[in-house]
Amino acid sequence: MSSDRAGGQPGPGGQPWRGGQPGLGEQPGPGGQGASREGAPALKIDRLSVRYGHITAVASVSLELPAGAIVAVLGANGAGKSSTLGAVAGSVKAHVSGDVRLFGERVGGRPSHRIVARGMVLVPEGRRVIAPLSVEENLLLGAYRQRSHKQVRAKLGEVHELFPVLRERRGSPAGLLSGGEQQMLAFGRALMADPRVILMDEPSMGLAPAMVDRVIDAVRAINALGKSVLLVEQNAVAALRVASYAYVLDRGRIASSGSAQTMRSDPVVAEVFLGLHESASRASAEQGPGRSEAARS
Amino acid sequence: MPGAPAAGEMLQQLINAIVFGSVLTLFALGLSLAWGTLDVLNLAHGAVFIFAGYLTYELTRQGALSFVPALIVSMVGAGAATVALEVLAFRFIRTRFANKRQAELSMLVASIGGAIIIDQVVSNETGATTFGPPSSIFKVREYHLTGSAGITNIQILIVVVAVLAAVGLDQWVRRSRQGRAVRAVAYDPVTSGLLGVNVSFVAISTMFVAGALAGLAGVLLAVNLRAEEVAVGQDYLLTAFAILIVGGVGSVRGAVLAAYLIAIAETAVVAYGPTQWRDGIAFLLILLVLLVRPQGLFAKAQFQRA
Amino acid sequence: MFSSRRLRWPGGALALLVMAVTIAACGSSKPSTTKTTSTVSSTSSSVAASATSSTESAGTIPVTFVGDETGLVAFVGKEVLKGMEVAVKRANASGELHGKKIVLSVMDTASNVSTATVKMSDAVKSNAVAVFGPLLSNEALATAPIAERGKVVDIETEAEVGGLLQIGKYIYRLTPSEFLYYPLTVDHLAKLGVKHVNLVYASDNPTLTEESTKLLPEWTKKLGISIGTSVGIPSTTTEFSSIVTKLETGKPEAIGVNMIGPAIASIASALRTSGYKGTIFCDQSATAGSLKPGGSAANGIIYGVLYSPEMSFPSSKEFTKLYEESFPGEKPQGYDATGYDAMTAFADAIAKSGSDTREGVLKGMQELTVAGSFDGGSGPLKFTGPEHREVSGPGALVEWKEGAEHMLVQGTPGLESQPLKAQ
Ligand SMILES: Nc1ncnc2c1ncn2[C@@H]1O[C@H](COP(=O)(O)OP(=O)(O)OP(=O)(O)O)[C@@H](O)[C@H]1O
Ligand SMILES: [Mg+2]
Repeated sequence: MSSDRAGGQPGPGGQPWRGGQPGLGEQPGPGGQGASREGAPALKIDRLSVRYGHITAVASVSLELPAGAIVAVLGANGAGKSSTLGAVAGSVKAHVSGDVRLFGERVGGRPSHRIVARGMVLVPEGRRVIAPLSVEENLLLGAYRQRSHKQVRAKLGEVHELFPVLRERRGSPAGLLSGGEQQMLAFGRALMADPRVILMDEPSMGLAPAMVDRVIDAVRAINALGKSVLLVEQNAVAALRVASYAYVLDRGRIASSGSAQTMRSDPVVAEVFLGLHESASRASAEQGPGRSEAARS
Repeated sequence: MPGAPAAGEMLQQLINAIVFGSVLTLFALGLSLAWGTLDVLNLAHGAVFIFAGYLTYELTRQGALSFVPALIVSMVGAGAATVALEVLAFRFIRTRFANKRQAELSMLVASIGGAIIIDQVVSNETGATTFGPPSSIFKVREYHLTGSAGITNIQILIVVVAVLAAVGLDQWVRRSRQGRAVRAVAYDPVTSGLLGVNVSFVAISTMFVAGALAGLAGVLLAVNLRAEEVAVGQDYLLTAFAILIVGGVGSVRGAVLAAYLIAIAETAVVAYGPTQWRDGIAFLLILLVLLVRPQGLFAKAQFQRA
Repeated sequence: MFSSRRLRWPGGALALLVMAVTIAACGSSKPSTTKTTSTVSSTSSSVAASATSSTESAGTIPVTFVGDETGLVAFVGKEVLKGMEVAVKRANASGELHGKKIVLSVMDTASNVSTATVKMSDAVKSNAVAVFGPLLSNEALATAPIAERGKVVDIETEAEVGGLLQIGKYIYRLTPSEFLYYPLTVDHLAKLGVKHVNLVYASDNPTLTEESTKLLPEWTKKLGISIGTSVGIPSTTTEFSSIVTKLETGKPEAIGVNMIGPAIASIASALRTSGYKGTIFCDQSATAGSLKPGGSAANGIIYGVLYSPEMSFPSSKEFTKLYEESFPGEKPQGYDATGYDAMTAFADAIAKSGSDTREGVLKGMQELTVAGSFDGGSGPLKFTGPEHREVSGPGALVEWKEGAEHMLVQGTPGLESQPLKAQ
């Protein structure tokens, strides 16, 4: 199965998909209003639910990623962010229902490798580099579905240009890279598949502030390549710096959503979910009851 | 010249050791592949090995097939038997058990079940007695070297095939796109899937290759030995464990080196020592290696940050 | 004969694990338990032609073969059973049973020790007046005490394990001990002018080891034959080239291969491939099945057998004829003769004592041993051993040629256990 047939869009051999003008400041509207000018949004999740046995991790979540945009999904620990991404990427072992469309094409329920073939890649939480393989082998693995040696080499060149450290450390086992370097490798590996949509699960997790900035820069650079990005983060400050639109996920439901500016200035959201004005300990202390109230508001 | 016969004998024993090491290599390669990449310690490997010998026997005894077609069909049959184990057992265990250690143990038990079933099938079909392909399928010829030493065409074939298989497998795992996927799946199947690797296909093709290698070894041994029975597979399985441990689990090069090392040690014991201790030698070697290098001779380099 | 090797898996924890799981998971005990108590097997019911029911009736003599109908040595069990059926047919037709008929039923041990003990208990509880024991040595050792305690005569075949007869007076063994045939082989080698012999033997098989390290050297020495290299190897060995190289040193005129199973054919063919032209001889445990895969390389291998269809003893000829009538198109094998001998001894015992109760059977067997011998399928068999509850037979020396055994020498009754004299 090659990705050439992906949704009738230009395949990996062609240009990266560009829906309209992927201007960074573009403001997708909530709901369906900001849909791609070419019609379908890059990713449209409709009433997605994820259940692990009796535990419902995600309950009827709907969200939309306009083509060429960066949309953030914010939420505290256990909010269901990873479950959402895993369900969309086909990697989660759970009961999943709902509709997932990639540029209008239904992709829900497919195994992860098929979804990659359709042009959507997940950069998993905790980077998940293949530690014993070299940096270069990890990158080549990202291009697993691409059989043309030439294409793979060309992609490798692009990724090296974007993340020079991956060229420097190409022979080193991936497990020996620093956390930040591993995150770059995870990004680079995802780019190797030449996707149209990249799902990122907490790329800033566990990184020092300086490194977080570099990760955010990388997200921006990736977006500049024409990739639509769904960015899941707990670090709301960082995420809202780069995203144009954001959803807040709480206990498996969308609690609120709005443009990045709105979200930044929303005091309730800021205080309760994102801890922008409060110390971390204070925020976590209030998390329980406060959260549900905010969700209802 | 009194020294001449002894020298010829020594050369002969050296040839014997190399041929033996080659069969062990072929056998151990598949076991090492399944264990080193998919964490499947496939105790049915010996049964599959005998199964292939049995298939060749069935296919050739009525004169239905000649050597090469029988070899190919038997290798495919051995690969298919191993794939059947993967599809019917290992796959489910891998997805059901979150705990890797538990999964490994369950697969071990499942593979014993597979071994019993395959052995039973072969026993039933052969009347639990000795079997072997007719000598007519491969005209064994001996080429004389110096003194009393000689080497037969089947022995040459075994050595050549073992070397080709070892080099080929090593290159496949190290360099090919598919080999990379195999190693990735071994380390992290979920992430491999996220990178576009069809994990169950990779697992199935890996197990097929492992089984086909066992089949290759089984057929060549059947032709060389002339007579086999179910218990022969167990003997090889045990020696192959020694090889994997001495060589370092998952290392193709280590397995090859260890196979020849053990073959030479065992042959030396037969030639110059207390013959009945030859099996003990393999385990003495394991013990020594474990004492000196617990990770095996060719362990993987460190890849995890401390 | 099946004392140690066939059930042997390679040592160590792995083997234990394998065995444990075999026992736990393998279906071997399950199908046999569903097939429970003494159903008269289809073949044996045809033998008991007049037996309309298997319940105790005045006209029938019920006996049970607690044997390996399935499992590891099913191929032996099936033949032993066929031999028994032929003997039942002969005895029932002969009238020597005072007008009664033997009815043979089968309980399958599936070559499993625990199944065998259960089946033996069932047999002892049943109305069987005698039982015929399981074939594997470990099965026999486990079941004989049950028969002994139940005071039922247990006639063992094949199981060649020491201590079996010491279990008690109800235990008999009617398969001649194997090494008694060796004199025939050594004698023949001497006639061929052989002076130097090299030897390989299964070092983990007590019978073959004793034979190769004690008995054979004694006999060869008497006839002026010297044993050069004598190599003991584990019976699980599968790599023979180094051993073959060692066996050929000193250019012996004959090489002894005292192994069991596939090793014989493998070693023989390796010897021939490397150009060895001398005589290859092996133990009685060489069987047609284990030599066949050797193809033409196995040609000329000589070994002793307890029975050959070419034997000229009247009772042997009778057995051969009856067998060929019962199973048209099949040649009787040693295993068939074993079963025939065991059942014939039983019938003779009843004829002697005139009583077919359990005690009557014991009395008859004792009378038979006092008489000293009886005529079986493998010729005139003599009671021997300290308890006189085992037998020796004349045997024969055969040569394997193009897929079949050909008798070279027929043993002389009564001489089999005597020391050989140089000719
Ligand atoms: N495999 C699983 N089995 C059972 N429950 C699970 C499983 N994975 C996640 N959960 C539960 O589902 C809920 C959502 O988990 P999820 O990992 O999606 O949250 P998250 O928002 O990604 O959290 P974090 O910020 O800690 O990564 C949690 O209550 C979690 O305990
Ligand atoms: Mg998460």
